[in-house]
Amino acid sequence: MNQEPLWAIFVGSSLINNFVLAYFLGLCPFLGVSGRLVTAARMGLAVTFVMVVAAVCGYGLRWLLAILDAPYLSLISLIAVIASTVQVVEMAVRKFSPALFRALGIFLPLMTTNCAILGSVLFQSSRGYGLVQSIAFAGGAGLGFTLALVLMAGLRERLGLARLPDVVRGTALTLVIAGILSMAFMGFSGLGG
Amino acid sequence: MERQQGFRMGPMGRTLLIRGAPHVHSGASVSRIMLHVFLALLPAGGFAVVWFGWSAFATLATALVACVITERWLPRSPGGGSVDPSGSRGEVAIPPAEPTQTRVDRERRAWWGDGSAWVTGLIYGMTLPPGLPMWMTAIGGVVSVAVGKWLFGGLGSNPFNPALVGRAFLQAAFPAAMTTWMLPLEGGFSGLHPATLTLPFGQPPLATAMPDGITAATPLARYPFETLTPATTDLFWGTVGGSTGETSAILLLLGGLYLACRRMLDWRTPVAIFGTVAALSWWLHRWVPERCPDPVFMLGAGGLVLGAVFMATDMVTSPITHHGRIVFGVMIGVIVVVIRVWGGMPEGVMYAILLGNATVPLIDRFSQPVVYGTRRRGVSWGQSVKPGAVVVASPERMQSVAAGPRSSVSDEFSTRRSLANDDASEETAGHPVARMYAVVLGVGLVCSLGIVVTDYWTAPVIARKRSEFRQRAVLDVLPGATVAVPFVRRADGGFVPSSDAESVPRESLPQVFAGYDDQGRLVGMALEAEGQGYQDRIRLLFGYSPDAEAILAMRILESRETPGLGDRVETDPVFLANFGDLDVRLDESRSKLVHPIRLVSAGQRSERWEMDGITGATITSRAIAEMLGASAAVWLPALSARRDDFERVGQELIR
Amino acid sequence: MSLASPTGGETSVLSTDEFLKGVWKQNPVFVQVLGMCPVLAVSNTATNALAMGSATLAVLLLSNLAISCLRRVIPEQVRIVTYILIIATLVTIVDHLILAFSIELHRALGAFISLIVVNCLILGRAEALASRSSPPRAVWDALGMGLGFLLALFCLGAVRELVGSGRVFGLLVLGERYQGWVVMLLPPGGFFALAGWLMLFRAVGSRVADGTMSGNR
Repeated sequence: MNQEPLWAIFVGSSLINNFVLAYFLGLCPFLGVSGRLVTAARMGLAVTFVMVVAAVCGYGLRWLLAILDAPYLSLISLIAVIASTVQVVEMAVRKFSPALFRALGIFLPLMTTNCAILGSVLFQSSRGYGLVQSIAFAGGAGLGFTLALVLMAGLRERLGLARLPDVVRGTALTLVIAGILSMAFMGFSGLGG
Repeated sequence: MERQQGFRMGPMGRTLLIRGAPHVHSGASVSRIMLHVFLALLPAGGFAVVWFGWSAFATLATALVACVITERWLPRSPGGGSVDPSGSRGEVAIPPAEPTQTRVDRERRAWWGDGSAWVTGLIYGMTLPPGLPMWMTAIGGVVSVAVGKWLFGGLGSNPFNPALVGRAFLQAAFPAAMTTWMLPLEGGFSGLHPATLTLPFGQPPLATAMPDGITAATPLARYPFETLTPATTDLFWGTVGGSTGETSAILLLLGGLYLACRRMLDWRTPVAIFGTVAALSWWLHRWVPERCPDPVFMLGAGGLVLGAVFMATDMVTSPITHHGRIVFGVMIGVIVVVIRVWGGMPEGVMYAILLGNATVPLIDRFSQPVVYGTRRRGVSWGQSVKPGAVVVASPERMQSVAAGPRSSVSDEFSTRRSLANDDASEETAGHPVARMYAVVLGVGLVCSLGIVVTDYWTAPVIARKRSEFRQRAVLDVLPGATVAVPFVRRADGGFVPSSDAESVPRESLPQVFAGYDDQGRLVGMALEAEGQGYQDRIRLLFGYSPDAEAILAMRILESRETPGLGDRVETDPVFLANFGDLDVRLDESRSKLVHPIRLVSAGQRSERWEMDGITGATITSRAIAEMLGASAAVWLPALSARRDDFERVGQELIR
Repeated sequence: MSLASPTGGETSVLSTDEFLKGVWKQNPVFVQVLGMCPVLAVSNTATNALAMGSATLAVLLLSNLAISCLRRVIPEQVRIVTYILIIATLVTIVDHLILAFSIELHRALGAFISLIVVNCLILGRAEALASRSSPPRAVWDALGMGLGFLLALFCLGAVRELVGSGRVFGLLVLGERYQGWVVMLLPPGGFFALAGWLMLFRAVGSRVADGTMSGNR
């Protein structure tokens, strides 16, 4: 059992080892959905939500597989759990808040293939986090993802009018910004050490 | 192709974004402002040359030349810099369709350019340690201008402070050289640091190999160890160690005052930064004085004055509204204090300002009275889809899904139909639900079967490789041992070899390894320890000798520490020499260590329970010392109480 | 969608063009920018990059084959779930094989082997091509795309390792005295190196395509 304090886990997964900027997880939405601030913020919060739910489910699954003594089935069952979590969340959101459902739109079903979510569940199990620790980790990871996404969206909206050199237009620019952000986030490393 | 269009047209399409950049003051041209900023920086720069000697001069000059040459050499970008400053006062920046003949254009053709590269170069040079090899300084300068400014379309649209981009790059690229601080030399003005003239792309001489007195930590870097602050007057005048141009608070403040009086600098940002840092550190100093120094020291030490006055106020990369600038300043102040007090770096001004720069678009957006609610709903589905999205739904379909009361399963999957596959849509209605489930279930069963078969096949090989791997690691940390046996702990506190233990779950790894020599004598036990390092978790294995009551050796199993810095815990001879006879004696009650393991600065080890740290990798070495201490405190009492369990197995081994 | 590449008829199934499309013109990394997570995360050394690329290639090949064989069996509505199940199985198998082959390599790649499951490239090819073409064609396409991915990963890994530590495949190339640029081994270096390659591709591509039809760019 891992004894790490909760705040350290949270700070670790949100700032020091930001999922996008240090682990490169969830890059697809990071590159694709960071064009507009509003969508970026929504996407980030939706991912955070699913991450936390998936963390709880993943914890239960780990417990179940330990009883069955079948760790080799973990990946396939994890992905199945995430896919169904996403589906359940989608149905719940549609039932209880049609407005939010419309706002999130296509992002909800797409989350099945978001590597940040699968990655966060995998990390939790490889580090042996308990239930509360898993939730702290997932919450931190999701909020860190949201932070990176929102910062990137703000910068890209601002640069939308700049007349950039030809070679850098498109994904390259986003990557350069991500690199600089990643360097800036290195300032947080060792936090709490 | 929605994605690519989204990029090409910019996120806003052709909409006009109301903003103020380039932040050009009324009437004044870019080059005029730059000239004054340059002049305001010169006194502090001049002081640096007097104080640190020729090395500082070499650093500043190289930085300047690198930045200016890069600016000249790069093709003119059609960037925001070509906007006529006199036309941008209305705060609607409309890039002209064709580059027009403006005053800025004429200026840029002059030999000094628009002057911004000179200011960038000087500021950048002033943030570097004075003894930095010149080739590194030059590379950072090129990065400053090329990546920090040119790539983003030139002056006026660069989101990050170019000088800091260059410095951050160097800090990440050459962490060791960037944290080697030289003392002002005895020779004073004529001194030259040996590292300055390192051959291009070569390694500078190691700090440990230099004569005593040439390197010294900055006051900030020393504080966590000695809790000492230099005299306030020294901080004020700048007669302390540190980066080339950051030491003299008074000269920097005077420069800032001059600019503020000429209205070329907004006083709000620096005042907000200073105020936040002072208030926070005053409060924290009363609360945890061993972590947080007093406010005067926090304000005067490190690069805070230089950063707050000359970098956070950069017109291009700071918010446009007065409110926004105060928010910006407060945020930078908070991050500086957090990094300095709790972070792994002694200094956080650079990171704080870069992070602040990143939030400027957000601050601008929320501090402007622009209507936030003007976004149109439902028009941007195409842009919102991630690249490589397999599944794309059209807006109409999404709406119908949201509204329609169809069965949930088919709803679910109708949102997942890709546009590319619409041609197949007629047949979808025909499949009964039962068949769907049957196929999924069937595929799932076949897949699971495949995995089980693979596992059955590979499990013995993997188990063998794993145990070989561990065996090697264990013998490594127990010099003299030839056989290693894994043990698990029983519920009653005794230890049994894991092969004897009945029903060990396959994932629970052996907790302790015992090493035996040829005669079956117990050499020692190997234990795993885990803890938070500088970057991520570190796992290590260490060997403990119950006879010597000492730690024999240590081996890192897993770490993501910074290459060349944190990962020196695996290679640094001084650090590795700690092990061998690291004292972990237990007291009479056999329940705790007589002397807890203590980390001291490199070369200061005088007692057997002390460990030499690594200069520049303090956090990592301290983390390892703490992990060893914690693990020893937990395990050693149990091990020494049950030593017979291990020796018995050794006797059986011979037989 | 860039995924739904012009598929053409089944006549020119196994042409060299079709193969080179994946390697060069529609390179999954440098042109389509797909499957970025493993590309950046494990490309800090050439060895890791090569191993990761090969693993992805193997999974891509097998999943394309399996899905194209099953394309008439799998109902339209549950195809994504089925694809993911198949891919997850293949990934688990590859994971076991790598572990059995070398524990050190498995450690270096870490969780990113498991994350091949959610690599957009694999699901993308399954959806856009394998689900609608014959097995030979699907395999041929997977070979091209997988090789393109492997090559791109290798380019990135080699550059990062060379600049970062002066070595390639762990062999000293730039001499004993070379001062490595540690940043290239760190996360920011991954972003910068990929950005550099993209810019290079764009610069070269625009020069080549000048005057001719530049396709979807």
